[in-house]
Amino acid sequence: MSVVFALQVTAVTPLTASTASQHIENQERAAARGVLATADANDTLKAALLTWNESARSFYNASARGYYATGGPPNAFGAALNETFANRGIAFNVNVYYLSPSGQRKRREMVHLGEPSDNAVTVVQTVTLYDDDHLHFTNGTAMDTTLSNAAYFVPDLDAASNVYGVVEVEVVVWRM
Amino acid sequence: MSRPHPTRRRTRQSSRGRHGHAPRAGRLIPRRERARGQTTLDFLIGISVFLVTVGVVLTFVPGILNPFVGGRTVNALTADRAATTLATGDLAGPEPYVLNRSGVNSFFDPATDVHDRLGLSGTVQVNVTLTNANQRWTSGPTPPTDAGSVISAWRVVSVDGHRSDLRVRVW
Repeated sequence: MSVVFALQVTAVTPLTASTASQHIENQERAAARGVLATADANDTLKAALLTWNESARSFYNASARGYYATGGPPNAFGAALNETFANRGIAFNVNVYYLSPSGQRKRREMVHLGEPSDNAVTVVQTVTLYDDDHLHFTNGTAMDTTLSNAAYFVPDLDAASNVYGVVEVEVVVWRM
Repeated sequence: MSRPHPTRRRTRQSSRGRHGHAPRAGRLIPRRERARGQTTLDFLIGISVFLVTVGVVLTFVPGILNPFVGGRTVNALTADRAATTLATGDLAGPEPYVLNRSGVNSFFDPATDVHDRLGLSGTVQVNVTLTNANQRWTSGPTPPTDAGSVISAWRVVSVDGHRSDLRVRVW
């Protein structure tokens, strides 16, 4: 009985954050950083942000709640996420943070696979959007619509400048 | 003074009890006090066993679950540092994680001394592998099949625009 009590007090489970999982967390963080950095370098991260369905006011082919719930988005960035994490039994969320006209920091979920566990790691990459960036279809081809005349979820904070806005793409990674 | 003083009587009874007449002495001690005395001893034994067991479990469980024993902590740090060096500095172009093709070719050239490039001591063995859908580069000896002794560090990088996995194994 006291053994049971002591084990319950220590509450050691495979998902408990501890020094034992530190090395794995380091690897997950570095891998997420690599995915974001490479996607940013070859512009697939920006293309994923811009695959926006104006009439549905959500990302293309997203679930009814507005995010992708079964894996990465159906484009090159999503393929990289799936290949890196989903195939290894690692779950991930992708959140996009932007500023509202009143200056509040708002969040839009792009991928939501669940609630992160205690030993989740987070990596952030900032992306700058310009007025003349084109929206993309889900197959990656650009539309004629540019951000300056699109109904996009990020507001244009300064109509005078060519910069549309700066968004933070956050990837949260944890072992399932 | 026809009846004896209560205190005096109890003293006499208990002293008789010490000389081997416990049953008779016990009968004369009031029921309430008898029950209280027995509970204290049982409680003491029980709580001692309980606390000792809790202490033993708390002492040994972290040790059982700690996977990094002895030199393996150092290997984990070595693998992590080597992978970071390669992915963000040594093989990368101006941007981290975006590898430079000529740097990759020169690093995986058989003539390159991997220990020297990564600044590793001679006591560890290292294997560096870079794979993507089309190609595979590797350097260093093949790791032992005993997976428990090999520490692996993993980075996601880009080579010529293709997503690739960089793996550094140290043992």
